[in-house]
Formats: sequence, C-alpha cells, structure tokens
Amino acid sequence: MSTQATKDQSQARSHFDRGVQLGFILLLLGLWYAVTAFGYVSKLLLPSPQSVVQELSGLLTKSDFWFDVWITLTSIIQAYGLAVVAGVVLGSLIGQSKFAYDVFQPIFAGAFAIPLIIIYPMILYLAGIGPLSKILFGAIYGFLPVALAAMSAFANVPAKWRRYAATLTTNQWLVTRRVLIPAAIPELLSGLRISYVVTFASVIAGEMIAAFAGLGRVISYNAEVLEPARMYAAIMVVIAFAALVNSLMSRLQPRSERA
Amino acid sequence: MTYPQKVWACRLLVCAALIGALEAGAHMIGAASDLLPPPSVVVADLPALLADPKVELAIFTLIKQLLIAFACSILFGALLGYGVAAWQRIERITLPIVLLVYSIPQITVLPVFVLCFGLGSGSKIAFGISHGIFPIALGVISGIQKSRANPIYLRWADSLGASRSQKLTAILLPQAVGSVCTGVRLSMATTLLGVLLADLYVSDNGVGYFIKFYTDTQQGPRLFGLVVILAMAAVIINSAVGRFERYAGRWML
Repeated sequence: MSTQATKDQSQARSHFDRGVQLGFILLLLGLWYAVTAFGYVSKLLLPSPQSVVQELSGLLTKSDFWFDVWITLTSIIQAYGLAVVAGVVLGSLIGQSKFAYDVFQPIFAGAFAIPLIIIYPMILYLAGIGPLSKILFGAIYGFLPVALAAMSAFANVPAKWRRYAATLTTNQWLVTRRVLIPAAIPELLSGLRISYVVTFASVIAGEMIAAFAGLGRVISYNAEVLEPARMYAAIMVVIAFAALVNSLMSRLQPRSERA
Repeated sequence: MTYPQKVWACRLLVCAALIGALEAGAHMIGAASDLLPPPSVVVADLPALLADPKVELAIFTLIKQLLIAFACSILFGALLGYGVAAWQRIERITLPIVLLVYSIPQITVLPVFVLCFGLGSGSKIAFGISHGIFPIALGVISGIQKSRANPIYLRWADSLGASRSQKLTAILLPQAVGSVCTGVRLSMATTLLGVLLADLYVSDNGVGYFIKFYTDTQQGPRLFGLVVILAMAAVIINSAVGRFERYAGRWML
C-alpha cells in the first residue's frame, strides 16, 4: 500500500520533470524563432528555424545528401569495427597479467592524452583524401579507449574469483567464458561507448578538414559558401544520429551503470 | 631489481622498441622518407625547427590559448556543475539536458564558433572551452552526488558537534575531490584537443597552419618535429595533472 503510494508519487514527479525539460526545449526554440524573426541576430550566424526546416526537408529528398550519409555511415562502421576488435583483443591480452598491465597501461593512457588530430594531415597524405584516411584516423583514435577499458576490466577481475574458478575446473576457455568475460563486461561497455563517441567525432572531423564527400564535408562546405541554413540542417542530421546511437548504447548498459 | 624498477625498465624497453621499429621502417622505405623520416633525422632537425621565430610564436600562442581556455573551463565548468547539482530537484531536471548537450559531437558546430568568434584566438579559446567545460562540470556533479550519497558521515559529524565550515572541509569536499580531479585531468586533454581542432580548421599562422604547411610541402622532419613537441607537451601536462590528482587524492575521504 505505502510502496504503491511512493511509486505513484515518484512517477508523478518524473512526469513533472519531463514536462519541465520539454518546456525548456520549447522555450529555447521559441527564443530562437523570436531572435531571428525580430532580426536581433545576423542571418549568417543564426538562420530562422523555418529556413533550417525547409533546408532539412530539401536535403532529405536529395540523393546527393544520402550518398554523403552513406559514406559517413560506412566509414564510421568500419573504423569502429577495427577499433573494437583490435582494442578488445589487445586489451584483454594485456589485462591477463598484472605485470603487462603495469607496463602498458601508462603508455596507452599517455597516447590517449595526445590530441591525435595533429597526425591527421600525415594520415591524409599516406591514405589519400578518400574515406580510407577517415577510417584509419577514427580507428586509431577509437582503439585507445577500448584497449584501456579492456585491459583494466580484465585486470580488475577479483583474484578470488579466478582462484575459485580454478578449484572448479581446469578448462581455461570455460573460465574465460563464464567468469572473466561476464566480470569484465560492465567496464568494457563504458569503454565501447567512449570509443564510439571518439570514432564518430574523428570521422566527422576528418571529413570537415579534408574530404570529397561525407556529412562533415557537407557542414564545412556550406559554412564556406555561406549557406548557414543548410549547414544547420546538416548539423541537425548528425546530432540526431549521434543521439539515436547514444540512447541505443545506454540501453545496452545495465540500469545501475547508466549515467 | 624491485618490481617498480622492473616495470619501468620494461616500459622504456617497449618505447625504445617502438622508436627502433620506426627508425628501421623509415630506412627500409628509403626514398619516400621525405614524408616518413626516421626518428633520428627528426630529432636532429628539432633545433632548426625551434629556431624559426614564426613556429616559436605559434607554439607560445597555442600555450596561451590553451591556458586561458583551461582556466575558463574550470571556472565555468565548476559553476555549471554546482548550479546543476547543488539542489536535487534542479539536478533531476537539468542533468539529462547537460548530458544530451555533452553527447553532441561538438566538431559539427565548429563552423558556428568561427562565424561567432572570428578567425583569431577567440574561436580557438571558445572551442577549447566548449570541449573542456563538460568534464569539469560532470566531475563536480558526481563529486556532489558522492558526498550526498553518504549522509552517515554528516550525521556522524553532527553528533560530534562539527560546525558548518568543518563539515565542508572535513566531510563534503574530501568526498568530492576525487571526481573533481579526474574531471580536471580529462578537461585538460579535451581543451587541448578543442584548441587544436579549431587551429587546424582555421589555420592562420597557428600550430595547425604549420602542421598543414609542412605536410603540403612534404617537409617530413619539420612536421614530425612539431608533432613530437605537441605530443610530448600533451603527455607531460597530462602526467603533471595526474600527479596533482594523486596528491589531492591523499585528502580524499
């Protein structure tokens, strides 16, 4: 009875919170409309919401734009796939031994602190201006957080559990599958999530700096030719895509681990 | 040899092996080594690179922009984090909005920053702040959440008759300090990334301009010299902030 009441109360409160959040976003949209409608801001800086929506529907019906989306999507998928496979394999191998962990962890952590965008021009030179350079760059940048998370996830499996498993079986594969991997998954998932964000941003950044196609190119091109409405429309598409994948990924994490 | 010495020895060995592999690889490529020079050539060219007053100016400008952006990130990030998390009612409403904004790949709005703040230092500093502010804010938020999660310490302090300031310095801050310091360290790396991204995108006489210039003119030794300097600076700054994090950690509850 009393638990039901608290449940109702907390539900009502979360509805209220959602309402305030929605109101806040509507307020921002209203502000955007008002500021542009009364001409407080230059159209070059902030085009009106109507013009952005118009450009958005224009973009979405053009096959050129879908080609750009396709290039960016396939680049991200390939880069992320490379990063995850390499990161999980190397990280889990290093994480097996405390000594290897102590040796390699600071090296990888130090490398991740370097803004790797400074080597992008070189990758561009080696791999050409096509999608390959973005894939390589995204994969290198996304590899580090996966490897770091994987090595610390495997290194942090309590020694007690390993010993307990060893008393039950000598089958190392069984121990890995039933004990080590399940124990490592929560920490690994957060690394996979960071890696996705980093890979996504790297691919888009690469396309913005130098590319013939891709969503990043659409944004930077329209900024250069002063078509702010179209630029904002392309930004909206990227943001919508990022938010979609982000919410899908947070669904993968167990409830207690969610941010 | 003690264990830490062994770890350090192996770590140096791994780094030496990597550099050796680069050296050997560059010599094997041979003719194309203009763009992929061996590390020895890069190091030999460093003094000449640093003697170029324009490069020197670019590096100093970058450091200045980085420090300004980092200071602003700490200030605004702490204010934002405190404003979001100080009251639980407000936190429940605003935190999802902050996380939503944080999940946007910020590189997409870089052209907007350039349009707003111009081609000079302004857009680089602003873009650095936009990258650096969130780790700090989230660190402060999770610090406040942690100190709120253990009310038992506060009740314990109350039972001993602690004053408000005593509770703040002995109970609340020590519980928050770990997450805040992690936020500061992450923020340093992201601020540097933000400043460099803007620098590469706009490239007017900054470090980004020289990176592009040396690539375009195939001056491999110069390009790698600059990359090595920046990478070393990033690693040194990161380990310095990491050391500060461990030092502050002793204060942790």
